[in-house]
Amino acid sequence: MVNNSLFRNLTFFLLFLVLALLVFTFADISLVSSQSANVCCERTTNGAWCQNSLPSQCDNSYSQTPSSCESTSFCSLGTCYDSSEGICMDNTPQKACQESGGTWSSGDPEDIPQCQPACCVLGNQAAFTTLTRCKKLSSQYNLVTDFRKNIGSEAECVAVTQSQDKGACVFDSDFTRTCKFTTRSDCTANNASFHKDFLCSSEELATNCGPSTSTTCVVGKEEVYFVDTCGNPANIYDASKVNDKSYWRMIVPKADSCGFNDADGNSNSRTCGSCDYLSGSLCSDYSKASSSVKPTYGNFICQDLDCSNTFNDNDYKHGESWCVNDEQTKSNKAVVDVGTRFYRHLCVAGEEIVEPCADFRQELCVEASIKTSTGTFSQAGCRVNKWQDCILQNDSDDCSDVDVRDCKWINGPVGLSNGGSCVPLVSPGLEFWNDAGNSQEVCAVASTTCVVTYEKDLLSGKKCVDNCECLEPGWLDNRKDICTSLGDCGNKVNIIKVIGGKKGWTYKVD
Amino acid sequence: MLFSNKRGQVTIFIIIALVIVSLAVLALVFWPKLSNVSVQESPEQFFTSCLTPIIDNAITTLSSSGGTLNSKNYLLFNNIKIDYVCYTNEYYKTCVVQRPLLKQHFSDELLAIINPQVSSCVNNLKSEMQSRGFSVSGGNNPQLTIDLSPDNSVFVVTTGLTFTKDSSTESYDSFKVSKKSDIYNLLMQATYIMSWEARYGDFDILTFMLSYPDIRADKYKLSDGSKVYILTSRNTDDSFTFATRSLSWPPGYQPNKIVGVND
Repeated sequence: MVNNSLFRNLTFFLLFLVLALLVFTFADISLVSSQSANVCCERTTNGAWCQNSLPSQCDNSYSQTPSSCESTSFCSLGTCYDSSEGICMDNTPQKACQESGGTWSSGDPEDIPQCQPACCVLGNQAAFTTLTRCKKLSSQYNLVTDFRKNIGSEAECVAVTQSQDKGACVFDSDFTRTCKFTTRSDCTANNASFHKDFLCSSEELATNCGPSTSTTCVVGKEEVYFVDTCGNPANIYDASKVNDKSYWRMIVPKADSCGFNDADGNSNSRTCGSCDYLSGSLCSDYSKASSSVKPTYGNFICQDLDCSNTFNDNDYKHGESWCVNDEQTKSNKAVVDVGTRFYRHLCVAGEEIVEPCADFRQELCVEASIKTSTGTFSQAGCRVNKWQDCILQNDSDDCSDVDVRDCKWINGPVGLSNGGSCVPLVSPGLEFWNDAGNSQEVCAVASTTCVVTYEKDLLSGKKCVDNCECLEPGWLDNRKDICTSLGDCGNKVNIIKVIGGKKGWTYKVD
Repeated sequence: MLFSNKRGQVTIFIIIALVIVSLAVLALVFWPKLSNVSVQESPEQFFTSCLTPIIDNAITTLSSSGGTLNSKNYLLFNNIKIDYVCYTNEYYKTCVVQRPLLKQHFSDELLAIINPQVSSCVNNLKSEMQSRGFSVSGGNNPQLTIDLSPDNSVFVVTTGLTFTKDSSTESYDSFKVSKKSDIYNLLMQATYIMSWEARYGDFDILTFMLSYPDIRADKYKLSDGSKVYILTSRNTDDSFTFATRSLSWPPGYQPNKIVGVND
């Protein structure tokens, strides 16, 4: 009895040592960091700025010091200001900024006057940006700089552009009375006469601009617009009103235009250009759209942005995202084979885009749907697989706390803890081929020796008295489950369903 | 008389028909030679046609490699070296900005690639003009300037060339080559993504694409935790590829091992 107890205590002690080692190495990052990379290189030999590394990897032309980069002055991160573009870049080392031609300041962009954004009005559009950037953008679009410091949020800035007066700006050019559709401020700056809400094609204005059958997309707008003979945008494209003079006179609000509130945003409509981005349509050249539906007039239609016949044969709306994994299942639990990972699929502008989550199953793909008036809308994301402290949990409730970790409890006669084992819900991948991730140690956690004690009596022969559960049929399966759940350990197949060259585990009775 | 007039007309028609047929036959026979006879290009056209493929090639090469031609801090993706614009060699940490002025850096690299080839274009132009009987002066030290702007990229070569033939003289202080390109916008968006990666560690391409419908963004996460972003303009098909390594997670239990450092 004493021997048994001693052995059990020894086993727990050894197990504790292994776990403690893992916790210590995982949790105390800075300590290990200082062991493996003991200097801060201002620049490494491969040209990277401010990396904790080995002395041999530091560029001798730059500074280095035997401490972490966070605690050095030469690698303290600050804001790099690009005076030509008016952009502020944070988390930048001083030398990296200065050698690139920027101006470096310690602190965040919020603390630097040149980096303070405000509303930059650019014609009928706006940008919430810095003064220098505003000047740059204004010059690029041949506009007078209109920087409004009193507007302190992006939403207010957008609202400014929407509330601007727009209309026909009539002026003389080469002895011809012509017109430009623009904002009041742009028009009056050029000493022309402004006619609010009028279109340039209005007969009352008596300009050389008139109706046409051409259409266009307008930068910053989602709808298809008619274009007058001078190239100015007019009202939203409506084939039934191409010859309607009243439709070419004044601005018609979108709410009064064709197909307003259409569930599909007038996708692929030949006759109506009232596209709606949130409903899944956007102005586009019909020849570039996948449907290639030719409109009755002009070359632009409301392109359908939704995705059909995707990888999993389902149809998705523009902006939806969903999970796909190598096992072709929606369950994260099913993905355990060596080399498998998760993928997030996106539907954007009629295209299905695949975004892999992190390799080695270090990220899971999570998906949820919301119900809308037009059906469900799916949203997915890659998030970190929180498996690292599973093996430290001794209690099934702590183990299954999904807010904290991604683990599962395996009941069993002999586990890593009393009454069972807490193991990763989705076993992480390991770099077992070069043991870079301590794969041997990780898998070794599942290894165990079970000493069964027998008592002999004179009449009935030997009788099991301790660790008898190790003799039960389920014991070996339980150990194998624990082993394979810890990572790429034990007996597994890979992503192409090929079984490993070795058995992956051994079982021996002495 | 009437009859004789008619005969005369018929004869004229036959002669005209024969001439047309003969010309057509001659044109068919000598077409390859005729097609080679082109209208002489102006010096501007000649220079533009020489420099444009060089510019296109340089932009394509740089765009696919993160804006740095011979990067030392790169990852290999589809056998192309892609420069890290934001990088940390550690796990669990956000990256340090490596190319804070990305657009300026791209311009500088572009200049470094194109500049050596500008002289050959100037020399070709000089030879061409000399072959046309002009005497040529100047053009010894051509200077290239590059201006990337939202809708196009402008390349100006200041060269000071003078062509003289008989009594006429043509002088060219500079040659300007404009190229419609979205590379400026792509570089600005790459700068935004880099800033986001440095601050938060990861960037959501879906939200980005919903806000910028004209740009397609692809993101690939590689096994060492590096990410490759490919931004493509839906209007011009221009693209820009760059790499980051930020907030990456190691395989297994691997506490903050430094990439590329062997214990």
